[in-house]
Amino acid sequence: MTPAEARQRDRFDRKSVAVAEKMLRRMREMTHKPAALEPFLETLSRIFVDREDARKPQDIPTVGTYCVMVPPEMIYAQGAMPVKLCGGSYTAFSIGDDISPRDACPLVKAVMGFEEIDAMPVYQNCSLMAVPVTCDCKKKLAGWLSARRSTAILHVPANRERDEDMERFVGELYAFSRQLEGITGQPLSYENLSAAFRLTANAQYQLSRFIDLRRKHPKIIRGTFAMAAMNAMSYTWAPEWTAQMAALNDELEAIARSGENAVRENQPRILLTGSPVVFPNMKIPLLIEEMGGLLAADETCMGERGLYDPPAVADRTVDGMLRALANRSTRPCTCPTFADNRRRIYRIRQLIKDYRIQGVIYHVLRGCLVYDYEYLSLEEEMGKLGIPIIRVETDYNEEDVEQLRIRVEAFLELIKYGGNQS
Amino acid sequence: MRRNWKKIMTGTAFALILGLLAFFAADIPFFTFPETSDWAMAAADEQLVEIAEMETGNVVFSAGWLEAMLPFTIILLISLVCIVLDVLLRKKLYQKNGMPRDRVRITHRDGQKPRLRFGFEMIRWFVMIASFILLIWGGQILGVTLSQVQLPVLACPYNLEQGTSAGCFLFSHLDVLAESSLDEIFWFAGSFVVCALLFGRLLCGFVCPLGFVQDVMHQLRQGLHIEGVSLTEKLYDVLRFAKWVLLLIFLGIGLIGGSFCDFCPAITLSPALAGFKTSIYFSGFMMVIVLVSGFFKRRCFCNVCPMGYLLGLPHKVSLVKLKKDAVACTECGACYEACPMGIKSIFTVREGKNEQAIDVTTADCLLCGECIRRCPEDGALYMTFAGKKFYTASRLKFMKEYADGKE
Ligand code: SF4
Ligand code: SF4
Ligand code: SF4
Ligand code: SF4
Ligand code: SF4
Repeated sequence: MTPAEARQRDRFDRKSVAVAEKMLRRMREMTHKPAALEPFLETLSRIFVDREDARKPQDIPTVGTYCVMVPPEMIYAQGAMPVKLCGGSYTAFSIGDDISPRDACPLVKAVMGFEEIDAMPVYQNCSLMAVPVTCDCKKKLAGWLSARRSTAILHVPANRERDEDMERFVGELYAFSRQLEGITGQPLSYENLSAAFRLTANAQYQLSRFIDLRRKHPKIIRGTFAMAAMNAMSYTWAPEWTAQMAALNDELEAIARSGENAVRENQPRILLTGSPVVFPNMKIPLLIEEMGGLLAADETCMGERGLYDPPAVADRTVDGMLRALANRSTRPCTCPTFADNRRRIYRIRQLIKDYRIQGVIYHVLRGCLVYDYEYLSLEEEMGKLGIPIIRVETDYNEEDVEQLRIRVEAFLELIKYGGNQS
Repeated sequence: MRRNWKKIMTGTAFALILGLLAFFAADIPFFTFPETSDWAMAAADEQLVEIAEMETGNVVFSAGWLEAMLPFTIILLISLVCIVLDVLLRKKLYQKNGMPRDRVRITHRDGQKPRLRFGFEMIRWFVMIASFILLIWGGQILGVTLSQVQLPVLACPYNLEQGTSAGCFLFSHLDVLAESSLDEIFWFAGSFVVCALLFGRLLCGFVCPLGFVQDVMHQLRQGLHIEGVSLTEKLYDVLRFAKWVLLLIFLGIGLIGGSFCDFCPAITLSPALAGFKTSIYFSGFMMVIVLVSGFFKRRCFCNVCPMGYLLGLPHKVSLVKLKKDAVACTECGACYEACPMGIKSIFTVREGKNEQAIDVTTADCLLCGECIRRCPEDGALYMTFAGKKFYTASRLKFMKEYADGKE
């Protein structure tokens, strides 16, 4: 290590830990924090503050995934543990900034930064990286990563209507399975696949309970907490997360029964959608709730989206299950990297109905073109529904916080006193 | 242009071959009983009700019954051989392509106990089994047959002791229909109209014995976890074409002097089970196709069945409807993946008069409810009877069936 590198490493160590700690502190300081949330925050703290690897029951390899379109079921089935590695660290971002074009998105820059600095065990210890080719930045990331590590590149169809495209993606999954076999020595089998399905099924069952609770009682938990729990899932062994979530659900159910609410009655209910919100970049959710809004739901892929869609196994065979996974990973996905993505608007409309949303905040990471593209059509649709919406463009930098605070505050005021919505 | 020509040529050739096979079906015997060899032909000309007085079926497991079951047993054996051969061939193929061995391994367990859950699916199986028994042995059990009622499904009325008669006979023998008494025409048309209005293809999903047999084959494969054949749009197009050809044969063959019954797979099933010795012509080969294809592709024959399609045609006025809430739907495609009829529109349709209640029923829909069962979105798909919801997709229901099943 050259002295310059050592200095950079030192700065990274100090700064990234400080940012993660600060975010965790801000979350812990919020009111109405359920006790059962603590395990999720601890997971985040272990990974980002203590710099530990993800906890696993046995010594098995980990596979880093860079998008929700990589099915975790397959990774569990073949005897490895999936971790989601989309990065949200500003410190890592600044390192990645030097080795990527100016206009690349912060998420990919952060990933490259983490990879470059080589100080995070979750990243370092991965035996395989799985990168679906979604947006341009991910595509270049896939190439960059594969030059340094063993990487599986999954070709995702650009559209989902044609059956041939689905068939091709099923083929991609078989190829991915062979790569997994290469690192774990375990071939895909019906037994291990169905066991893995059960792991995620239980997690998804708990998530469904959670969603159901939130729909019935939109004020039962702060959205920031929900997003933290979903972020923690990225680094948690599925059954462990399931147990933590079950505990949280039980606690929330008790709260619901006793009639207590997580927040005051007249807080505007906000939906957050747009580019991924990855810990420790919890800037926007925190701002919304610190300014007196209630983040009632989110439509982002490190949030609820990450585990929302279950695979529907119509055919109980290896092939049937892979088809279910291929379907689940692409067809319902609201990611704007697909050419036609009308379903996202419908999805948001449904969320608005389910959570009685009063305003939408559209998060755009600077450089994330695909999300930015979809803002206009959503704005138009929201206009028809009479739901106010603002676009917030930012990156992982903390410098614009004051400016954002003013905008978010004004938006919340507009909803509270605008009077035209109930 | 060249492609189109090729398509038209192969299509015509296919239709011709099928038509010739159907027309000369009676000359391709699969299994004939010497003493009754002409019985089927006779029945085609006479009125079934009258023959009912002359013939009675054999009691189950009597020597006569076993004899009557001989052709069906042969059919089962041939089907079994075909299935085993297919599995072995595929094993070879996958091995060569370096596919996971488990794609074709048969003896695997998933450590999951089968859980019986009361609901639409269970009711469907219950009704299917009950109507299978009643349709086939109804006369023997209850002592009466409602032989005037002509259910428009392939419950073969060559079995003279089944619960009701079936409309398929007169549909495929329009010449006989033309000479029938007004009374009989009234019953025939009346049964069809009432069934189509009240149930539509719900009869396919719940009642038809040939449909039931295919579902049993599918269930068998599910139990063995043998990989099936998943069809894509293109293959469904082929099936759709075959369906129209069969429909033409079904309606027209009687008029040009053939008999669909020598071609129809259903004749091998119900009469034999009721103990009627029935000579089988090309039907025997058809039944092998039905069983083998039904094993690898759920309800494959229903995709080409002319009777079911006719029953589905008036779906616009039928009281049973499949509806979709386009806002709740995430276009996840689970319904399409689950649908035995490959009806893609249930998954893609987004526009409609009322976005929350788009009628997605088609003439192909069996109303089997598989799509609703696999739909993970609350209220995205549902079935209505006269506007009343009676089966609705629900996420928690879905998750309970899918997850370990706590609670
Ligand atoms: S935004 Fe799209 S590409 Fe990015 S992680 Fe989410 S689903 Fe994947
Ligand atoms: S053989 Fe087929 S068409 Fe003929 S009566 Fe029987 S079921 Fe109907
Ligand atoms: S479509 Fe299937 S269920 Fe319906 S009548 Fe035909 S064989 Fe029977
Ligand atoms: S299964 Fe349900 S949510 Fe999925 S595409 Fe079909 S109707 Fe839509
Ligand atoms: S659309 Fe639904 S009810 Fe109709 S055949 Fe397909 S799965 Fe069955």
